[in-house]
Amino acid sequence: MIVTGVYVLFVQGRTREDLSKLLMGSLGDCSMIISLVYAVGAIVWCGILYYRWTWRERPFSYRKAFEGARIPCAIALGFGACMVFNVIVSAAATLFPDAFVSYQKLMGNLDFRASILTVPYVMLAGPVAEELIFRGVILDRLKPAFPFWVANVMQAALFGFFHLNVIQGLYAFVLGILLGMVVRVTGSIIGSMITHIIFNATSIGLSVLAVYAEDFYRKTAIYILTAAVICFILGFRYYVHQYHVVMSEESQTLE
Amino acid sequence: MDQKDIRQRETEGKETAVLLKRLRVSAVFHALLVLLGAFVTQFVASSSA
Repeated sequence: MIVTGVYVLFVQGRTREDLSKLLMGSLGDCSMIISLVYAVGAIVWCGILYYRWTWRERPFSYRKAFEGARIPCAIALGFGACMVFNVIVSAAATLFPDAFVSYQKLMGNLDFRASILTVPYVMLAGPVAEELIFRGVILDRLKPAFPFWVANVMQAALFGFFHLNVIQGLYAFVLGILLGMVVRVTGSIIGSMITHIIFNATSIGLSVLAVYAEDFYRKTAIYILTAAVICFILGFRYYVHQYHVVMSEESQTLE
Repeated sequence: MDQKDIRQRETEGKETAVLLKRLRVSAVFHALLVLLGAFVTQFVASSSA
């Protein structure tokens, strides 16, 4: 609700009356209410499961986990990955339009103009719930039993399957691998939550720009894309490097 | 190292392999159970809304 309020009042520049009308109007939109109820439910039961795993290191140093460039690079990775994936999906959709019919329909349901509740779901509740389910509980459970890369591929595959759409599932799989790496490096799902929230927020932000500032969006699209590609490369390289550092430190500790 | 030690090590190795297999089966089972839980949560949310 806070995210919705901030978005409507400050991003869209509307009044409080507009906000209350939008919220009342959104109550009739069942699909987003269902998504929000699911997300809150998943946050509660997965949050309990995640907290109760006994093998995790406690007390956990968040200062150490997010030292250096870890947060800026998590943000850069989320922003860059969203843009890069969007470009790849758009290019593939142009080449194979028939394969993208169900995907376009699915994305239409997530249009922020259809329901104002899309914003808090896509930007907050959805990513938090998905991180708790896949990188929290599932990866936590698989990690002690398999080598990390196997556990990461398995949770990413389940994350892709969960989307129940081939196109969305494929890029969710790749995103899942990246988010798993962020969790491995930082040791906390807060890092992957940040990346996931930025990933989804970029998608919403681009839609807002395309609708409310079409001219600006058209003129600056190439600069935004260039910045996103640079961010993706920087974020990706940083996390791949950090991943190797963490893995070599771990193998030295075991020896 | 005599025959007895070799046999004991082989037995320990087999026991470890069995334990690791059990741990892996249990981890995959739990992961699938959590995924099922996520689908059930979605189903319950769609029924209640």
